[in-house]
Amino acid sequence: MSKALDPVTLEVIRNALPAVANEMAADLQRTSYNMMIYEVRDYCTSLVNPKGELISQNVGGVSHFVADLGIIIVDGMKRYGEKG
Amino acid sequence: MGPEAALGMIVVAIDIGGTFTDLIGFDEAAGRFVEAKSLTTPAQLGQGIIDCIRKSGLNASTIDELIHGSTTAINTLIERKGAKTGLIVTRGTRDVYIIGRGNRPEAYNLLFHKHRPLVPRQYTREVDERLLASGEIYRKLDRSTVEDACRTLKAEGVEAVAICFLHSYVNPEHERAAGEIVRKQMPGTYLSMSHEILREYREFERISTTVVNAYIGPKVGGYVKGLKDDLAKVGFRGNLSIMRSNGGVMTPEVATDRPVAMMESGPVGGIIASARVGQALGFPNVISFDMGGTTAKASLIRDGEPTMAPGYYVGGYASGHPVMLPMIDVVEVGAGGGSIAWIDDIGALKVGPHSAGADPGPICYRGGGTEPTITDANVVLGRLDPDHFLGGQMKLDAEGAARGVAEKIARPLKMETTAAAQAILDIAISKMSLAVREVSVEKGYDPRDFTLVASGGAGPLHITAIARELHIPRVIVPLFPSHFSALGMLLADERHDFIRTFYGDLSGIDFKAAVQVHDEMVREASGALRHAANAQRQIHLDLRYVGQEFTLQVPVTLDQLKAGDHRTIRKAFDALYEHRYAHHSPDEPVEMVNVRLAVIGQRPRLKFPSVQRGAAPKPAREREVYFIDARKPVRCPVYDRPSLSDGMTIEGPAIIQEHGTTTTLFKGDVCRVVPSGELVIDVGGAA
Repeated sequence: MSKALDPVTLEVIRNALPAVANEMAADLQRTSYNMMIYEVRDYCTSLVNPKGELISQNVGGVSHFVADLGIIIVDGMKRYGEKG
Repeated sequence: MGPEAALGMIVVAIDIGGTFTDLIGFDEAAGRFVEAKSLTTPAQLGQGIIDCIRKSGLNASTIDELIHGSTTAINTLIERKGAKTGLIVTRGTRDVYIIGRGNRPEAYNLLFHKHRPLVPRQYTREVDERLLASGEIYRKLDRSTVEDACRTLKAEGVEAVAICFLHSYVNPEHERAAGEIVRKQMPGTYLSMSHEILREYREFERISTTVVNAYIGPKVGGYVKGLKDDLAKVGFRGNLSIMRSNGGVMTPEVATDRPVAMMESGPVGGIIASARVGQALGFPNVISFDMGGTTAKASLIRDGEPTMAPGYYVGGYASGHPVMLPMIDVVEVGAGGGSIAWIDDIGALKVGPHSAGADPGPICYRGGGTEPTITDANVVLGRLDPDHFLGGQMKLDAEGAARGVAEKIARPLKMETTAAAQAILDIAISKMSLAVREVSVEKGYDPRDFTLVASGGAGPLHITAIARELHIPRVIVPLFPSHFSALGMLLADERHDFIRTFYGDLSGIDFKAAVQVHDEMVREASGALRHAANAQRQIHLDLRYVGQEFTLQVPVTLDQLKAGDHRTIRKAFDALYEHRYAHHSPDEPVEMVNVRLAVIGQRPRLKFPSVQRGAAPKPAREREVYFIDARKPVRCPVYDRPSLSDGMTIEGPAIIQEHGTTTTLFKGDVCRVVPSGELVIDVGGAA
């Protein structure tokens, strides 16, 4: 079996990546001053790579934000470079 | 004042679970534990308890105190077998309970449904009355409308009534008056009034909590009373205490009035026990880890105190019933001994959440199970001994387990059978580690600063691997790991939690009034408290920055409240906020939302016996076990735990077996037996 397809590592990482996004979502909700965030959870948190590709997203996150998030990252990279 | 010594008491805890009723008792004069187990008989739970006492060999008349935890309350709600319940509310608020909250927790779930109300609309009656948010009366209660409501509900054959008026958390006058009318008009009906159950704002949550109490009240209240009578019949004359969700116990009288308080009492016993064991061994910061047949549960304990959640949702946040009473914060994941390993559509190996449960159970149990489980993987790797499971009472089918893992997992993934078994455990351990992460990292605590306490039949088997994954340097395997919940009940204190909504800008708040609210709660507590002599009080304020919704519970002292010391309180809030979220806003105004009081009546401390001192440990036998390398087994010593004595040291790789569980020591792990009998393991390579 090739390393790239190791099903165990795949599953371990697949558990961890959404957990990161969920942790971000919980903190955003709990610290928010905006009713649409703390009550309706009208937001999305995700891990995005520098190319703007989605890696993971919080459970219950609103998906159309994900479409925007990649564009913002790509644009930010273009303006400020990889090191900011 | 310290807790008094127990002085030769006989104390017994009985924990009713879905499958088994567990008893653990301690006879202090004899320094002796007794254990018993019997099958749970759902139709006659009281009889199950009496059977268990009989099996234990204890004479009921010699028992000084009996602590009881039961899933009756939560099962009544989940199975929807509660009473026909009516609800009386302020005119104009009839549908608050049915509508619930306006958010969309599962925006993309096509099959989503809201909570299913426990009271149908036709049993929800409005009466004329109105309070303002300040508690001032805007419209006086019209008693005739309450009488009308009673007539309708009585004609419908309603068995329980909940009353929940707008703003009654500030001023319960109208609710009390309406309650008196209900008692007069509908004698024998179970009554729950919101101001007696939950004096906190938020209409839906307050109604839901009060309704749940009324809904389960007749059945659970009747159960508690029946239990008292049954016990009296067999000669029990001691104190009966009922375990509650907040980790404390209460008298049967309080339980009859507030059965909702025992709703989530199932998992808390083990957490209390973890806290006590950790403290006794000098580790006040521990993470309790309990792994049973279907789930694993983690809970964080800091300075000997379990973490409390202000409320919970029976049936999950999205579609469940909110119950806003404090409970010990537990994170649960679907990984237990019976969790099934399977391969999903894209060929990835998954473990759980489906469980083979007790019936049919894992393949190796020979109960007709055909799907490989975590337990089967442990058998394949030799970590569980097929010949000595449950002290040899149950021979496991090792060949069947290997065949199942080979056919269902190894062959499709083109792996060796042992490698597939190892992979199942790797995934299970990664999942369970996430639960431990969730109670620690997500709350701003570094798991490396904590000690893991392992319990449940499957806990000690996996705990060293979990510790290694999270770099936790130390693990404790306590005494009676498979009866740990019942053991915790033996140790639990009496605890009553109170809350009052008290709202305003922190710097301008009327602290005199806040102290009055505190004193009222203290008076209310004294009526419910059995162990008043050693009572301790903890005060918390729910604080937030103005404009926020969520609060943090900030511990304060009565002196700070009396002095109106809002600056110190605010600093404590900023510090807690920084700890939890890694930022804070010292210039933002802070507001107070609730005052909380916990009154803890300390029960007498039991003095457990210590184990014998002995020299070198002698292995009972040797066995081939796969540890880290799934290709090559290691011949390692197997110890029987009862043969271990104080001062012994065992180095991994090794296996320690006892009646209900097995502890795995990997290479580099060093296990010490401490005088009180626990195993303290330094985890190799974790630091």
